[in-house]
Amino acid sequence: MIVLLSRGASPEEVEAVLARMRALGIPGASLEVGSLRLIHVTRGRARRARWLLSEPTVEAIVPTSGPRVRRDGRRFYPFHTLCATALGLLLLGLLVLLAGFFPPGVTSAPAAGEMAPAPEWPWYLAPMRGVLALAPGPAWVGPSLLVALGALFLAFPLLDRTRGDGVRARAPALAAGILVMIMVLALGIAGGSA
Amino acid sequence: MSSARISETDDAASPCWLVVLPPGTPGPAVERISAEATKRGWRSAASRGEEQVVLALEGPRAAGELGTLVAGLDADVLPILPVESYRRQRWRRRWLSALVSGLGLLIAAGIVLPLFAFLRPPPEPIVTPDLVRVAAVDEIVTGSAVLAHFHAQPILVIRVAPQGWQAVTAMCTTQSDCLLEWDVPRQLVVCPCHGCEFDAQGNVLHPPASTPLLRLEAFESGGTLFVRSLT
Amino acid sequence: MRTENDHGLLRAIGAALRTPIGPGRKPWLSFGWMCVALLVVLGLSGALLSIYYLPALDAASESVRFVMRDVEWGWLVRGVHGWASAGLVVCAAAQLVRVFLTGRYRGARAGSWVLGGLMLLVVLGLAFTGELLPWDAESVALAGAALDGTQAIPVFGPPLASAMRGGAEVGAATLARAHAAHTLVLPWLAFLLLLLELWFLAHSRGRREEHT
Repeated sequence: MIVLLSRGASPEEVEAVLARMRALGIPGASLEVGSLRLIHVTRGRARRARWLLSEPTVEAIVPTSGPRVRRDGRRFYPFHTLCATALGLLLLGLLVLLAGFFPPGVTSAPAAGEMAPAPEWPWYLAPMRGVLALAPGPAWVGPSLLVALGALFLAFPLLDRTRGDGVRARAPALAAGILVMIMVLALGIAGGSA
Repeated sequence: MSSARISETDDAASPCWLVVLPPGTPGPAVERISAEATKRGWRSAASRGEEQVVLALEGPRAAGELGTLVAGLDADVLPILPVESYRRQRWRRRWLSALVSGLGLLIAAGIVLPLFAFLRPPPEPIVTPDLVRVAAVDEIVTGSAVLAHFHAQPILVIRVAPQGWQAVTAMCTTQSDCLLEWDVPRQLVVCPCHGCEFDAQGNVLHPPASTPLLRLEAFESGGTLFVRSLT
Repeated sequence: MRTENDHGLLRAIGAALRTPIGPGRKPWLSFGWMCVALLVVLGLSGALLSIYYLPALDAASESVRFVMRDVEWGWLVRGVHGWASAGLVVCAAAQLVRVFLTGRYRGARAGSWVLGGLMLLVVLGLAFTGELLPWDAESVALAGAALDGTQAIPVFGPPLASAMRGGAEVGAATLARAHAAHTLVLPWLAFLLLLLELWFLAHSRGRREEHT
């Protein structure tokens, strides 16, 4: 950060600003080039220099963080937290719109002694329903198959034997995974309409 | 790929520039730039800080010359604008942040105010296991009654007065499964099977019944009729 | 009076928050961060709904109808909660798909895959137990079908189903357990998995930078 003072400011005026900066915890170095009077903030939270704008000889504050931002990128706080918060609010707005236009149904209480109807499985469990519907034989085959598939899914990194990066090197694993995703989708559609 | 960046300025002939270099720039490199600038007629002063190295230059030459000075370095070349531009920038930033703050306040109000409304207890009580909602108050005329259910047990809820309610069980107390009715002209609870009569409070007025009817508490809240067992 | 070790943790967190993130990267534009945002929304809306919800057999569905009908903005809070849960399932699945397609589950990052998979399971569990809470005819049927399926798993199926059912039949205990799972157990599990995931991210970033 550069503090720009009035042109031709006297050494006493420059010293007064330097003293104020030291009090703020942002020591600086004064630069004199012709009639230009500048103070370079050398240490500390440079943003505090904005408080100096109330001084009579301070004309402007010039930011100089370009190279650092280009090299390191922006900090998580405050920049990315603000972006994340804005995104969160947008998401909330979207949810409110969806809730407004597609409100959830009002439930109906179960009457005492009524026969329970066939359950309507939620959409995200449709693939599970598909597996259960397709599983052959006795009742324990389907749920056991689901548990086994779940274990396989979690252990997938161990099963992936491909080496090296790049699509060609990973082709077997990628193909297997995409096949599984298509199957899950198909099971979901089948299970949902079963 | 690091390369010098020269900012646009409306005053192309501005004689004052800042060259901003990364903090790790070696001293000899800074001195070299300074010496070159002095050779071409610029006045310079340098300062090394924690976050950057700054070189201030003043002179009669244009910006293009500076590009050659700092070629190949990760440098920013910023003009020092007339003071008026900085004032305008500050004014614009203040207005923008006021606008964004206002928008933020609106959004916050849009979330907090409905929240208060949500937390305020509604006028109607929530139905608990021993509280049953019967009907809207307007549906029952004074002097008439309505048959309802309190946990699968039939009850009669009678509007004896515009603001007065009575609720009694609607099963006859003579061992039979007879459903009682409300006789509107005589304002009595009657049993169509055996001719028993009870008053609106459930007291026996005419045999063969000997046990009075069980009473429940009926009350109105928020335009709806509720029934609760008497404790 | 400040002692030496005072605010050490806060300072560390502050320093971590102020570190720059690589040039041009947008960490908030990913499915992972959408999941975090949706979890926050679900937590807050769930807390609001739990003010009016009664986890008792004959009061549950009536309390849900009470929220929808009589509480101001109750229908909106419930709607937001429902849609956020659907969005969370989609985002958790999409995050795993993205990790798979970009190959970021291999080698040292296998832990991230397992954490993501477990998170997906927890999210599905949250969604399912949430469906049971209104305790209407469909919820009861769903609970019965799920418990029958769990019962059928050999070896540890019957004890697991019994623990989930809370008794011999589907009833008040089942609802109570579903409520406890949905409002306490699974949310804390999700929070823990999230913390582990963030720690893993920070840890593996350091290791990745060592290799380059």
